[in-house]
Amino acid sequence: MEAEVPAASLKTFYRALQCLGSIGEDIWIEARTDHLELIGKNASQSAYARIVFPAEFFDAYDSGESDNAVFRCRVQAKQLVGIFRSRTQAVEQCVLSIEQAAEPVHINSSATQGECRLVVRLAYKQRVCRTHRLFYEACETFHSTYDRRDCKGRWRVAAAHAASWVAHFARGSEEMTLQMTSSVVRVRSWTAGNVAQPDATRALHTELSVDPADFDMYHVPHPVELALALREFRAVLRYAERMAAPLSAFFDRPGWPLLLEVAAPPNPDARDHRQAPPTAEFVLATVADETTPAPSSNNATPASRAPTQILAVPDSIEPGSAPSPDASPYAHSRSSFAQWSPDNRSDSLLATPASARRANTATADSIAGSLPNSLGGPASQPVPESRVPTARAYRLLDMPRPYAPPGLTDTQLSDEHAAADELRNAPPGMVQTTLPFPTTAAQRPQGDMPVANADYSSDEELDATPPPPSKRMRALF
Amino acid sequence: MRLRAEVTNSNLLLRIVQSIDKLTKSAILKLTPDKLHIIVITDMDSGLQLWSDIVVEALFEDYQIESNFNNEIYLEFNIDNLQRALRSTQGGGALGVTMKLVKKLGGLPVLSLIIRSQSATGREITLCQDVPVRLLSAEQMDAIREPLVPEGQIHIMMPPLNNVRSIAERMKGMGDRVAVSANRNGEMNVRVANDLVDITTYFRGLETMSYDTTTQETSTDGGGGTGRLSSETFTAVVDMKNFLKFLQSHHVAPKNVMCCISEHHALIIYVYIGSAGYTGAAAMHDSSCGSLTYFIPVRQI
Repeated sequence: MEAEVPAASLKTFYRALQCLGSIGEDIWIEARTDHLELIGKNASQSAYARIVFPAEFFDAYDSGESDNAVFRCRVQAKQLVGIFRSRTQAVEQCVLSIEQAAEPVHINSSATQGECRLVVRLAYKQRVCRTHRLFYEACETFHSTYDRRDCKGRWRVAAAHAASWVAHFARGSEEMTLQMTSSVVRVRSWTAGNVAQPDATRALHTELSVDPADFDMYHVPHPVELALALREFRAVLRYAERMAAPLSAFFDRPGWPLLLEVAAPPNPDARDHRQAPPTAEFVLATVADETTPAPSSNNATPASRAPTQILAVPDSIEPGSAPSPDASPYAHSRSSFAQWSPDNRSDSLLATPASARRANTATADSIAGSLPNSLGGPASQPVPESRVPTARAYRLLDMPRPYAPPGLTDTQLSDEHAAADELRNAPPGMVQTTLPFPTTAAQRPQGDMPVANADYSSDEELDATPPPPSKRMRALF
Repeated sequence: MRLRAEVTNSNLLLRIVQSIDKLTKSAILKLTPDKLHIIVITDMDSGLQLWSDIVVEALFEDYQIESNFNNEIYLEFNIDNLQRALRSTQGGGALGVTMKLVKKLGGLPVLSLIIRSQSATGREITLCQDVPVRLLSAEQMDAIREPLVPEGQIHIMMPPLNNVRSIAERMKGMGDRVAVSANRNGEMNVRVANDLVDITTYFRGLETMSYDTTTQETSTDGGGGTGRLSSETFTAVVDMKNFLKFLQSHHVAPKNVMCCISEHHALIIYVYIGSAGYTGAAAMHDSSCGSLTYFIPVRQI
């Protein structure tokens, strides 16, 4: 795959990456013959984003595959976003390409040639050239199964307008509700926390009433109220604002996700690259209502297009899994949320992590391998579920957790578990590998430089775990 | 218990809340039929305390207040929340702001700010910011009293707060305490010292108040007498942090700031929120629309 981003559109490309980076940790890249897709989803699988760059957007685009084959891979968002973050004014040429190893890579070879890398080469004036080689992982991508044509309600509004509603919310707000009737749109902020106490420590509650005439297009046949997470909505709004494009929303009823689209209409007068601006679509999960028969996760089957399954996942939850644990974190559901129901918490689109835990399935594998394969492990989690107070915290905190929290070195892990167990249960990032070259402690003759040795003496213990990046750098240079 | 008012000067209220922004998490709002008091106590014993009052006419119109305790209402609120809510009142297009004390669902009291404004397309948008508050009873309010400080030895008008603030910002890294001293000649020094550095800023030509107190005698027996010589300097050593917190009051753009040094006890600073300009002795009389009074205890070593 090779794509050359025009220097003038670097900002646009960066904004798209930034948006995906603020939604999730990874960016999936899918290169088809006529367009390049960037896909992202958030950790709790309740938000999905897809930004499509048509081939005309690029100065040169070659997907490198035959007509029907598609190249798919996943990179870390932080790294990709960081490359484009700054100093893009002086860039003359930017080329993204995939380098694949010509031959299998041997662990002991220290050559950097021939590795599978996503290469970003930025050529500046004065013949300065910056090349970034990112590790990518070839994997499956996923798409939303929702179609905006199925949605009964829709509206379109200028992005700045929508952003002004949310600007009034306090910083700690976690969720918002959009109550749409034919005469008024009410936007409210909600925060998790103990709202039952008449205390000054509660958070600011904001409520905003907007006239539907402010919208470019507004079609809401029957009143509907949607509750969704504010963080992802803000990320979408930011993207729409930066692209100066109107935001379109398609929705049906509570429990069904909210589909958002940001697409700048092509400007025929502008230069070539502007005629093919990227189109972005987002799917945000909403909270299911008590009254609407929102399918909960235990009814999901591969065949039925259950609204709670945003991702076209081949495997699904076993029907026998319980919807939520007995000690439900929502046993004390907030008094302010009349419509929030603990058991119908189907806004996390797949199985709620708790039930996924019980089901002990390999669902994690199908979600592009992003969740650690440690569903069996957390049964012995010391974290009591009743501690978790809020929806968002629930989704994030109760995610299938690796046995060892990240950061623990293997010396601290309990001895009963075999190394293989640790390997399987390790969180992403805590990789149990041996370095391909001997560590400096082994290299350096003993007794030399006692002061400096103090730093590296723990290398032996940390041999199984790579030392923190700063130490690793010292070992290499 | 009822409270309802039209906030006409939301900008002033916002600036007052901005002055208290970083002091601590929560503050107390005491509303009486003619004044609004904001009380911030950072730390009962050694922290800075702020007692302020503003006449309601400077902020509100159509002010209605009713309660069982002498028509006074006492609220505890989170400063950040109120600041966020007031910030929404700014910006172009705000048509009107109404403040009400209401009980939201669940019986929780909130101070509700209803802001009517105009959107970009000209239509009306109603924004409602609910600041959660806690109602205090009269007994609880009685327990909170202004600190008792002995009479200050010297009252001096401080130089413009912006100058003092920029200087203090530079000094803050040098030490954790600052010595504020002044004398009757209109000189004020702000000094900070540590092992390596000693920095003093001298302000001259400031105005002082002279009291006709009984302790003031012209000294005829030279130094050592009990008389207040005009060159005697009075010093208060306070925490640098508290000093900086007080300097945040520049947000209200005060017309006069009077500093009263009570040696070995406290630094009391009266920040007069501007109304018509006036200087000099008239500042002693409370003819401005309000004042913020900072009690900064002297640092006990």
